[in-house]
Amino acid sequence: MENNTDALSENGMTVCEGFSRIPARLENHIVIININEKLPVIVDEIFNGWRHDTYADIVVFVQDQTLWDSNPRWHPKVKSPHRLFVVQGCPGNTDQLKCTGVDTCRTAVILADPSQGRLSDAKGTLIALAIEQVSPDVHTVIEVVSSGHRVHLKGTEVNEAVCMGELTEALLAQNVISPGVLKTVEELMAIHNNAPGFMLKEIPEAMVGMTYREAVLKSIEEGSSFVICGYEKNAREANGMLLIHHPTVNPTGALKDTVLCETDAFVVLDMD
Amino acid sequence: MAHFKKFLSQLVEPAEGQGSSLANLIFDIFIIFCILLSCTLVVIEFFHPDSVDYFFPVEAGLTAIFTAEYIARWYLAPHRLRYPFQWLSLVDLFALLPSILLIVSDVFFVRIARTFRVFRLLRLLRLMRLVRLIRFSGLIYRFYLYTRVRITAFGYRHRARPLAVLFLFAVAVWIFGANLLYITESGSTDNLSPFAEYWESYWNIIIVLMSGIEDKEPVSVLGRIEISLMLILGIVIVGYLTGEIVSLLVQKWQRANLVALMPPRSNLKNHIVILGINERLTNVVKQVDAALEGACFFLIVDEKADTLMAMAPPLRQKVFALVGNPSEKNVLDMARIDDAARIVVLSGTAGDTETSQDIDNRALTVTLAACLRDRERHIPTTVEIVDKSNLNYAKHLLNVDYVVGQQFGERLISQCVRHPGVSEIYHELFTFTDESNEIYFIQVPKKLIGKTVKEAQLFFLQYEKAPITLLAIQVIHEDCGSQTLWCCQESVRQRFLEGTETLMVLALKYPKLSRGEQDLFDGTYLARH
Repeated sequence: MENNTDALSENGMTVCEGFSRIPARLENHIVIININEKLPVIVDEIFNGWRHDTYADIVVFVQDQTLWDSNPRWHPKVKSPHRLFVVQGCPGNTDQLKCTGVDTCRTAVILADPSQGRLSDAKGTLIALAIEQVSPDVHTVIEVVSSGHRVHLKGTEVNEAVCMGELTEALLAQNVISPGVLKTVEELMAIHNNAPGFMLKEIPEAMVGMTYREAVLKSIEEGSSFVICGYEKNAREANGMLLIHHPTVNPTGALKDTVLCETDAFVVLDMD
Repeated sequence: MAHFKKFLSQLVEPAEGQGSSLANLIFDIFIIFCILLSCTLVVIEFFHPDSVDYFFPVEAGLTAIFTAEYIARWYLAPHRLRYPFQWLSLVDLFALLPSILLIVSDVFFVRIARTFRVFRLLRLLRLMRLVRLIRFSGLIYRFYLYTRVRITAFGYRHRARPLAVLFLFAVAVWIFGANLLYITESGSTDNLSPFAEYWESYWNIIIVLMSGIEDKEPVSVLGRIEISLMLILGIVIVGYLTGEIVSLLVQKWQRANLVALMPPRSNLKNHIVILGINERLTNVVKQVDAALEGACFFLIVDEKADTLMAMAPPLRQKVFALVGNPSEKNVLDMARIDDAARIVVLSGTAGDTETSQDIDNRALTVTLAACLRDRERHIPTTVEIVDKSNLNYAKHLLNVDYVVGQQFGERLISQCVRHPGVSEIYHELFTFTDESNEIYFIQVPKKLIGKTVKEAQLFFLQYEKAPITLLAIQVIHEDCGSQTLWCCQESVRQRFLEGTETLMVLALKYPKLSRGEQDLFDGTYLARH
């Protein structure tokens, strides 16, 4: 693979010390924009949970070189054969974004930038808009600091927003109601071999045309290796990826009689 | 017939909070009302024997109700032959017999039977049966607790205590003054004084006390001295009253949009104590309140708790603030932390110079103060921690759960990368609303004990009262604590369920099909249902 050294330098980007340059063509990789204390764990979990045929490529886009240099604890560890590229630049610049291969990537993750303080959501949202301009179909995940800023994302095509404050509030309330539930949630969210978790699963051919109730009955009786918890209508995106928008989880009476078609998907609990 | 028997059984059994229907509660209240009415009739008839005929139809109606209730209980009894000889059944029978004799006497002119009417007081013994149930009845106790706290809070907010003292003082002065002036004036003024007539004296003294009008002048010198003292006391009373009302209005205006302060004598019990405040407070309170359907009070303890904005109704009336350092023992005592149902420790909002270590150290200090107390029961505690490295220290405090937002955030972002859209599912599961599903832990229902997990899954699929999906089973091991067995594992599906195990299910609300021995809050009255 060739290095895109020229493209990087032409666009005013630098490669962080100790990391190799980005190859000219990256596909199905992950782009992580901004760095914070969550970066090493996220990278580690992505590497650990990678189940595709090839190795994982992750590009980390650092905005603030000083922040990167002054926080060595945030530097992710590369796990062979996976590859990690760390570049410095401005993610608001679409040319620089293209250099990271955001137009061909699998997912773009925008982390909250600690150097921007509590108002980092504004720049994060603007970066999401920039990504949309470059590649409207890319799956975008954004970390939001304030739950109040989540509404701003409704006007964008951001697929998922993870708000730390909101998550903490929800988990605190959950544990007040059901003490000990945190351990279970922790287990559900863990990414390692043989860990349980919620995910989308294509509807098996034999179940297409059945109602949800019939499909679940068949699944239980046949001893499927997953627990069907709900379904998502028209889950398949144009690029073939299954994506959850408005899942129907644990449907009530009438919704159990919904007829499933091949573009739908099951929401299941399954072991990774 | 089976449905009718089931319905009757549910109706007649005492309301015990969770699992009891509204009809069940209404039936209990109705019977209590009938018993009290019946006893009141006995008292009225005793003092006004002429009213016996007047109340006869009421008495006959009540007797019919009690007879029907007695027959229903007998019909539903598991051992019908033994039922009439049980203690409570005998009480029921003895309470009923006098009324029946009374009716029979009126119909067949057996006057002698009327002497048995006093037996109807035995009916009061039935009250003991219901009073005993208050200990276990979530709904009735909750109503009692709510009423008590609301009345205390109302009194505290409207300064009922000082106003009551002032009122009693004014009444005492009024009675004393009226009598004093009457004695003074009637003996020495040949009934020329406006205070010479006893009841007239009461009227005139209240005018003097409240308005200071001087046209009601005593005639004697001693009377004038006394009325002068009364005038001074009147000024003091009216001045104090005016001051109290103004102060009340000012305080009300100043705290119009602020959270209510905890009344000193509110005696909160089974409340949720939140130690510390940060930006997550409001949403945590809202979520827990939504989950419990407004069943409990919240107490926020912090040095700046009095500056908190009031929450929107109806939460406004259920949230109180206590000003003080939550790591101090006397503050925690005032918060009645040992009587709390849950404790939540929020990490304080970072000041300009505070690091995450400072914030966590403060939260851990508060946790230690709240948990290392000499109390008989364990109170489930949830603590918010900012830096996950502090968990290494915190984990040594047993029975405390820690929420580290960063840790869960990292995992959720990683999950989103791996399984696109999964954050939507977690968002639904973690948010308490009427339309969203949550994760609940329930005891294995009686009918599922001894069945396989697969059979339990089929049971829940066919259960039409509420949508429930079985996710996992929690098994408690004596040596290594609890273990979660996920239903997607082949080995788990063939496992037989035991009564000691817990089911982890997805449901819109806390499922009512559990055995009722434990509810969301371990059998206390803070249950959601």
